[in-house]
Amino acid sequence: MNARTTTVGVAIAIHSIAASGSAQAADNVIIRNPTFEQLASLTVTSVTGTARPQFTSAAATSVLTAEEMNYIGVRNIPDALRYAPGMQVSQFNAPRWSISSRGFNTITVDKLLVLVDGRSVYTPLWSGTYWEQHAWLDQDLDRIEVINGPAGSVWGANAMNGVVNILSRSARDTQGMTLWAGTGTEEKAFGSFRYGGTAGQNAWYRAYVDYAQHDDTELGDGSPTGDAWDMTRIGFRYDRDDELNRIFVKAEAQSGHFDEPGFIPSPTPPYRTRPPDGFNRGGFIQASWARNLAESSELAVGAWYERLERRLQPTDEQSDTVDIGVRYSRQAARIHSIMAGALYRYIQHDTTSTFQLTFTPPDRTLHQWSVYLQDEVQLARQVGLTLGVRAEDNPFTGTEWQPDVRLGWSLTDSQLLWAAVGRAVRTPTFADESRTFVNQVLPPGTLGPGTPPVIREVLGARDLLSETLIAYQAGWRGRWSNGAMLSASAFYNDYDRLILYVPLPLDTVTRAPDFWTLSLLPVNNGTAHAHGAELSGAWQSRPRWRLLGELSYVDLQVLPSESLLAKNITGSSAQLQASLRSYLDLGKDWQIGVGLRYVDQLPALNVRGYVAADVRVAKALGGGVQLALVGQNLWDDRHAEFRTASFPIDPYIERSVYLALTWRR
Amino acid sequence: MRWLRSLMFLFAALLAAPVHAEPEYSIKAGYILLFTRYVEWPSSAFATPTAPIVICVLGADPFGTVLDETMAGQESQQRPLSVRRVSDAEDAENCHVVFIATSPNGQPMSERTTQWLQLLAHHPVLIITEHLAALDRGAMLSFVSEFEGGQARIRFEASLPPMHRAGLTASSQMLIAARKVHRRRLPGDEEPQ
Repeated sequence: MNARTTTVGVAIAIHSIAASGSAQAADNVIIRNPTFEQLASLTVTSVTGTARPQFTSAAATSVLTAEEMNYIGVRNIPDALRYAPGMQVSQFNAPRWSISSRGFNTITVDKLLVLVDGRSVYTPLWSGTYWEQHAWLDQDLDRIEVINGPAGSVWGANAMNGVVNILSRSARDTQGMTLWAGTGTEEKAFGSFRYGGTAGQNAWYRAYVDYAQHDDTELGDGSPTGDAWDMTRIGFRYDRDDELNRIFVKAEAQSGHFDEPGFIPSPTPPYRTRPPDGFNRGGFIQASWARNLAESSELAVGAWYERLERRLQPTDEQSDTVDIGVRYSRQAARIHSIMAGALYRYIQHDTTSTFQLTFTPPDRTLHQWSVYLQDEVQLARQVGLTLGVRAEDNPFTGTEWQPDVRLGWSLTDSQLLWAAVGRAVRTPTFADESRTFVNQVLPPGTLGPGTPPVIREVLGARDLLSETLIAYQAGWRGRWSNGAMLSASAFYNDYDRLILYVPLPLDTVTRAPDFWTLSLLPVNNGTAHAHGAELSGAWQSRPRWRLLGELSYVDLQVLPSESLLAKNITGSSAQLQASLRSYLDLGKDWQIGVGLRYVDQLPALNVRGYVAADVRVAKALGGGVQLALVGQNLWDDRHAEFRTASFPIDPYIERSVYLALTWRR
Repeated sequence: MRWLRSLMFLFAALLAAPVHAEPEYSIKAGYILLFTRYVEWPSSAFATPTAPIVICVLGADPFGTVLDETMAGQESQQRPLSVRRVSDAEDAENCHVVFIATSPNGQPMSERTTQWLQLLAHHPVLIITEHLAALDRGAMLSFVSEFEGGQARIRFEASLPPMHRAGLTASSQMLIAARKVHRRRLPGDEEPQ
């Protein structure tokens, strides 16, 4: 009891000094008879960012910490990624985002690998990410790590243009109770509750539940799009960390409901119909165990199972995925740092056929394995060479090799030069192989008097090869004693065997007499080259004020230029993007965070360039309560970020505000 | 965008605001006191059984008088505590605890810090820094700030290999309190699977 009073007393004393802004030596807080628990529980006010451990990595990496994102009021992962250099985030409508790295920003971005706590969340259907399921930025997020450029040698196929690694906090760091609730014009209602406790010596847990309800976007005429959605998640995480073992178990279930906007094709007049409401239900359980074997080696095993039932236009699917991995790492004589691993994944994927989308066959089983080996060699005190290779076997194209060479040269302790060359692939998917996707039904008479209705569709093809990329990259990072940091990277990407579509001649036989058919068939006839650069910097002139900035440029040319899809991909990537963030602690428990972004036009999609501003003002009210007022997209009334022929609607993202209350104890 | 201009002005005005001493050093001083109680030095490190444990601040001193006030009148392992400030590694060889500060702005580890770490290696000196990267280069303990909701908690990480080399032992009670215990140099904190 006595110890507890001391803790609270010290916390208040420290807080008041932080707020006063001019502590004299006489005001010094001296902690008498401290304990480790007490010291770890004390807090000080700060806007300083976390250490950036990726400084020495020979890759274009960046980190978005949960702290940085909360400070500017970011409420979902896609909005957070807008501040990562090299990333393009285009919100199409309320639950749909197109998120890409270094170009290829289509409605089905399939060249980016997304992981949540090491669990791959790409869909085997078309190797994209169902962002609605992973969008919500909860109170237990630790950070988002972004790698631009290929990382296939470590992360496997589909880590072609980049990797997004979403990491949640250890249960050890989320002890106690947190209640969080808010409301706003677009974020209609949201709330979360988390409780964390200890589970014996060296073991911790947390349990959490969260809910978020999102409003419609807006159509051109100002009416609601009809794409409001909500999602509830409930979950649990357990961590154990002792001298020899690190164990982590996580389980989560989610259920979301989606209003579906617009129309989908239909075989009967008027040849279009309203889509049914959507849902996303499922859950996963994940466990990993790492054990120190000797002074300098470690063995880790991990496994997860996930169930997903999802109906969101245009797909209606159910899947079960089991993933088992093992990894061994060893440091040999301080010269070699070796990491080797193997991975097996089993996917049972079933689809429900609709007029709009059918898969032949509708149910598929997929076995996929891969092995990888990486050696980090310290060639000299300042020079490190990383060699990596991954072999991956998939049912579509057989074994794929993804090698990678990286060189890092520390000019000084505070400057690093790096260069890398790597090969990455994107393997074909169920959709590429076996889909029949009806885009549109043209009414009778469209092709001339007396002609039947015409189905426009995209087909799959059985003999597709993997898309390949050879990427050349180089970069530089520097830090200065006044807290400034600058990072620059440049790349040249050479893509081959890209899957594009060729139109087949008008088919007046297969579906006659009811329909004629105009089909597009996927073939590996595309090539592309992209070059670009990313620049990011951080500057902290005062302990209480920090500035971060990012600049990204990409010039992508997809060929052959006569292909409509190639032209579309070329013109849907923003050439230039810029962002600036300011974190300011005003003292007296006031915080102000500002984010400013510019995104270039997307000429192929008729989307204009835009500027967006996000502002968060927060005040700690005492007793662990914090109140925050957030404005998002404040620069203009509304703007469009993406358009696609797959969804013939024209939604706009509106200016919005929300109010949030946090209570911690 | 007038509000934006006002905001920019506010930032500019703030640049002129006074900067105060960080209370995080009160917490760090508390930790250092505890470290002297949970780390065991070889008996050869002390001239006599009642010789003090000498705590040194090497280079820049961010503590002001906080460290001295925290240690005043305290005892660890039946030894008094003494605080000294030293400016180079040779003077620090006779210390039992050496704290090397980095700037509050998260300044990178300087060449000088690296040199100090090399010079102090193999001496029975508990080296504490504020840089996690230093744990790979001979530092034994490193403070780290954890940020949440505009607040930071001060934690520490420990690296065992340099402790072993220097003949120091940290008790398991102390290591459990560490955010992370480095048993070797890892290729990276996060692993693919």
